[in-house]
Amino acid sequence: MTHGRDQEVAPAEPLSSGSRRLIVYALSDPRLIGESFVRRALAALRAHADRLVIIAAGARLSGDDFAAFADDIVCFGTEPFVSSMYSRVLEQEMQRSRGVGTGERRPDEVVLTGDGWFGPVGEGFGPVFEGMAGEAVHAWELIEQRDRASLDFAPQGFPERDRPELWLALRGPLVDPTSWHSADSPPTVRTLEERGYSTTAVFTAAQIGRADPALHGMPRLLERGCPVLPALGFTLYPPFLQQHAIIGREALDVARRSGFDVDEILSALARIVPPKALNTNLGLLDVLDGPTTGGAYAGRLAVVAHITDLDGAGALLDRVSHLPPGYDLFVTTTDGRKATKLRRLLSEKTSIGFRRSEVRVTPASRGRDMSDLFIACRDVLLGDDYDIVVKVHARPMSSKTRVVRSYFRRYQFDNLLQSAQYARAVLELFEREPGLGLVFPPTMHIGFQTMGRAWGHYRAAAARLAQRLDIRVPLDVVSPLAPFGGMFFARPAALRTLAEHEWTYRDYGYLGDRKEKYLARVQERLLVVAAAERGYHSRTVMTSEHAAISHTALEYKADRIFSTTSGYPVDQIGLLQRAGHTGRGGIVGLTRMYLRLNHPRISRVVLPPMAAAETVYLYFKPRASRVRQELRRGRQGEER
Amino acid sequence: MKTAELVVASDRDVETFPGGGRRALIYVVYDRRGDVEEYIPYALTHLREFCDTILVVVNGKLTDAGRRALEPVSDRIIVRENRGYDIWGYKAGLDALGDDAIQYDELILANDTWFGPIGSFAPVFAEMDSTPLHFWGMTDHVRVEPHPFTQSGYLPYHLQSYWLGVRRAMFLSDEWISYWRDLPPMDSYSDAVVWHEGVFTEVFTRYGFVGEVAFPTLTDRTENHAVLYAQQLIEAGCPTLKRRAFFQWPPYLDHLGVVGKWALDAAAHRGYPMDLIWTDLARNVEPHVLNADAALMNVVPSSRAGYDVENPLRVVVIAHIFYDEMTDEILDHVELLPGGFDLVVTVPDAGKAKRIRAVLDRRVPRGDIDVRVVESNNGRDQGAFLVGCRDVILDGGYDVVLKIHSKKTPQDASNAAEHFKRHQFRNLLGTNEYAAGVLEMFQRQPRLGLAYPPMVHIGYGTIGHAWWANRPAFVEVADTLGIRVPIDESSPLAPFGSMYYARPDALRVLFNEPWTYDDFGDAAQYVDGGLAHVLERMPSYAAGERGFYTRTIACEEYFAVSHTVLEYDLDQMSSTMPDTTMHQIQFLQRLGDLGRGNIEDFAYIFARLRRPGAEPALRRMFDRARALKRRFRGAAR
Repeated sequence: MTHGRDQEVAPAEPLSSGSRRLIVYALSDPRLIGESFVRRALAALRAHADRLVIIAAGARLSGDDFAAFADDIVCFGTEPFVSSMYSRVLEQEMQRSRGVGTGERRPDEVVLTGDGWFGPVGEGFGPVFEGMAGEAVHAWELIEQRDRASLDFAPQGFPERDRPELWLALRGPLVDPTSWHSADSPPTVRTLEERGYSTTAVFTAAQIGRADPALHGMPRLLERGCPVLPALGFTLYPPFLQQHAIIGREALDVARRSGFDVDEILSALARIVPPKALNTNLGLLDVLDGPTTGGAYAGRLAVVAHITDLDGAGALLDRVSHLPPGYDLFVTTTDGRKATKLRRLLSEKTSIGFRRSEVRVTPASRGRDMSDLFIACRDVLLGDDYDIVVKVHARPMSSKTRVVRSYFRRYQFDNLLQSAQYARAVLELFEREPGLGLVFPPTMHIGFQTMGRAWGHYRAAAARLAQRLDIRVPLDVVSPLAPFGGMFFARPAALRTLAEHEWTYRDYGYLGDRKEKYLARVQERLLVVAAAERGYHSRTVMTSEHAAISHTALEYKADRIFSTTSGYPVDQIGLLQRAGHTGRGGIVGLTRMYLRLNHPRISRVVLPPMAAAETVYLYFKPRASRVRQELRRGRQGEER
Repeated sequence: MKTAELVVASDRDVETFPGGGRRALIYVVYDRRGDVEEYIPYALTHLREFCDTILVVVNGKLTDAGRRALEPVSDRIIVRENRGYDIWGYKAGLDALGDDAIQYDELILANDTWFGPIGSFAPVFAEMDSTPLHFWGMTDHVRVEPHPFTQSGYLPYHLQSYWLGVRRAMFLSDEWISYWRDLPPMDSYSDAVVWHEGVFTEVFTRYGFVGEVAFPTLTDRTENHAVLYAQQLIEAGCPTLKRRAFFQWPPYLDHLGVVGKWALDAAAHRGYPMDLIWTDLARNVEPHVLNADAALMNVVPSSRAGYDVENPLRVVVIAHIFYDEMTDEILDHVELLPGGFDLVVTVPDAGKAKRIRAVLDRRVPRGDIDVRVVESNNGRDQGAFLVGCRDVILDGGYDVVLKIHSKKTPQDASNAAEHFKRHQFRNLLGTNEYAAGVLEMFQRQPRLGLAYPPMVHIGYGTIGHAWWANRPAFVEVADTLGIRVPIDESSPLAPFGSMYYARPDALRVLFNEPWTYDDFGDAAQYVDGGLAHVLERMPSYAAGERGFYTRTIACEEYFAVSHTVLEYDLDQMSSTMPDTTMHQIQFLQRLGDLGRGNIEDFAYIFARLRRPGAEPALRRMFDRARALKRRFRGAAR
């Protein structure tokens, strides 16, 4: 639809003194009302608003006192945020100003914004509003948006959706949503220009050198004094951001230098971005090789060590000894005999630095180290006695080759407890960032096939458990961010959601629901997500040696696996994922891929029954051939 | 040590190696160049203590330099046609030894596929000498069923053929003589395993000869532990380190969890002169493969360095400054280098040179400064470097050269271009300490030839494709330059962006050719397949030819971004395929180019999988169909 020029467009005028401003702030995720970034934004806006209204969409709010932040709040219940909510709210506001006895005039300027930015820093919005008040325009943006690429990566877990306006101010006739022409969402600046309205922006695309500065020009915006940091560039599908070289870690560094409260930003992002995507978008990985700045460690440490492989106990305790002395050591093992041996071992190893040690005997359960942590060491997690819990284990890995076992141990131990200096550096991360929840090595990809399938079969179960625990952090689609290997440093507060639930050993066995038979595996994969729900982010850490081993391997493997498709990784991944499960290159598998890529609708009709038929066939095939074999054997027997 | 398969019920006499006994070594060499890598004389020198006669059999050619390397450490050199692998080399050695064999108490048949001695040979010889036996091997391989090469029957338990010791009672036996007399021809690696290595042990134990293995398999799995357990074998005292662990396909070693670096660390720990290994690997392994197999990357700390300022390196910075307005910016970076350095600026015109000199005059020099106006901007920084700075590299007497150039990113440059520039400068000259840390690497590692940032991949589609169309021309130019380093099938290991630290000696091969500016042509030649793009990819291969290896270097900041991105992308890319990453890569490569995944692309894929050879016909068919469609459309209009 194209709009002609509006005949009646009157020339714009600057705002006169005494004009009224209405600010509408949309919260696309009402959980965020408790986040300090929202409170900070609302406080800063309120200083410049005659009336401030909040839109709350996506979830029901519970018991917060909104009067403290806004004049009114319009709740849309669980309906997800859509742009038309602005017009619905504005219509209400228009009626309200027409109403008798309110004593309020229709606003002269409406600012539509929402939870899509952090800040403000510096002098707040004063200079912005003052500067714009003198501009004779019908509409203005804080950050001009000339263009916006499609951000739709639905199968990857990043669907296109309506997002609150970054910052659109409308004046005069445009204050009334009936003047917007497009049915119900706020107009874009470009359509307004086409219709003859005059517009401007505080930070223009030309100044920043990007058509979409809020997404593509974060560092430049901040360097030019933009008081807010748009969140979009931290929250999208990582390969898309890479294609455009939008590098969150660097933007966050600039933000830190510009005075933004990075802890606040991390806490918010932890709750809204799938954790593995966030780990990538913000580069939340540290090579801990430099000198530490902290002195003696003053925090209270607990070590929870699950030891069922007594041969490995010595090596494990040697690594634990790299922690600053004075920690409490809790060892869990599966029977009294092992417990006795471990106590003897601990009585010999008093020089490794623990203040006290305790050996606990736990049932040999499928929950292994996880049940021991959440049941046998529940008191350690919930007792408020410790600042940091270090979870390690020594258990037999008989299904792996010796070289893989030794790589596993070295990878986990080195990357968490390589030396006293290294362990101190890990602890320093927690000291530096109050919102840091867990620290662990990146997912292993050498000797273990984790790439592409680290959820295992546990994603659905994880989603169910998350729902039960009221965790609403989005889950990554392909692989979760998790301490695979079961060793990590954590702040007990970050584990609280999982720790507070009263698990029983029975929960870890076979339940009626077959898919949840390994609760431990599900919990392992939910640790980071559960921490994120509480606003704690996670970091991965490596020694410089493992960094070199891992990066060279990743680069080589990636180079090879991306060699038969073209474009950027985002295109190559998209093509393969649209093609779906490949099978092993048989004609059936190839046909399926072809159909999914070229005839998605047909494939949706044809492929499921095909798959069902195949399942049936595969179910009977071995049986049929067994029957045939037996018949043959029977005949041979007769012949003899 | 005895293994179950080596236990025989035999009435043959078995003896220990007699005190004062005599031993002969038949050592087989194969080298593509006909050279002899330095680790070979080292091994032979150390074997001399235990061997009275050393007979070297060279499969293929032997250069004069190779002969000079072998002569002092051997008693006889036989050069033969390169046929029948090392096995027929052994046979040639045995034949040459002929009746003289009777003078010896033990023969050792060994080849050049291992580095050693790691530690010393003495404990192994002491152990085996005192053991009554007929033959012994250094390492063994467990029985595999079905036979991995023939897919039928089985590969017997065997002592590995790279090192076999045979005592007199056996090598004078009729069985031995007829075994070698009737040795089948071997035209492939598979033949060598199927017809000799795999069967030798079984054949001779059946004859009742008593075998022993010095280092039996370390695990209960079917694995080639000489390669996969190199680190553990060294720790167990094994004096031989198989070279294979460092040139096998990285995804293969990776999926088994093998970290080559740790085997090298173990060898270094035992005091092996590592430069022998580095020289050999640099010359004979694809640089990108070696980069992955030996983890030749450093995350250089930004806040700590151990550069030895007492013994500073002689450093020269060669900066091609096309955009003279960037002179200050470049110098700000360069001056992060520790201590003094000379500066050579190349610039294509006199006006710019004048302005650059003016900037330089305002700054405090850290060494000699030379602003050179080059005759032509052809080849840009490459031309200026290879033609205009020949003397600096070949005769300058420098330990390290830093090659950089003015990389301009205008205001409207993309994020990608900005990132690329930052990637280069940050990972070459991040901070004082960072730059010192890189130079420290050159101080400590004499065979380190080049250091540069890993391939840029954010904002660019380089992963999987960084050869673009340059590989064929690259192969030709490499050949002209006399570079015999194997060329990667994967993206090359190269300083994309053409900025790097190098040892001038490592670049010498690049200067073998008397390049001229005309060779590069003008801006129109600055395309894929053009000389500039080819030579941009050449440095690590040129350095390899002279026995220098390459390390990639990154600062902690860039590393974090790059690693998380690569991991995320690999995870996403693997989500639809079964098996390990290695299998997935093999699967995709069998399918070949996926194109856009339309009917035509799938037809080609099917042809590649099922009807090899049908692809060209199919292509003609689709071309004709397209032409028809065009004509039909034209007619319809």
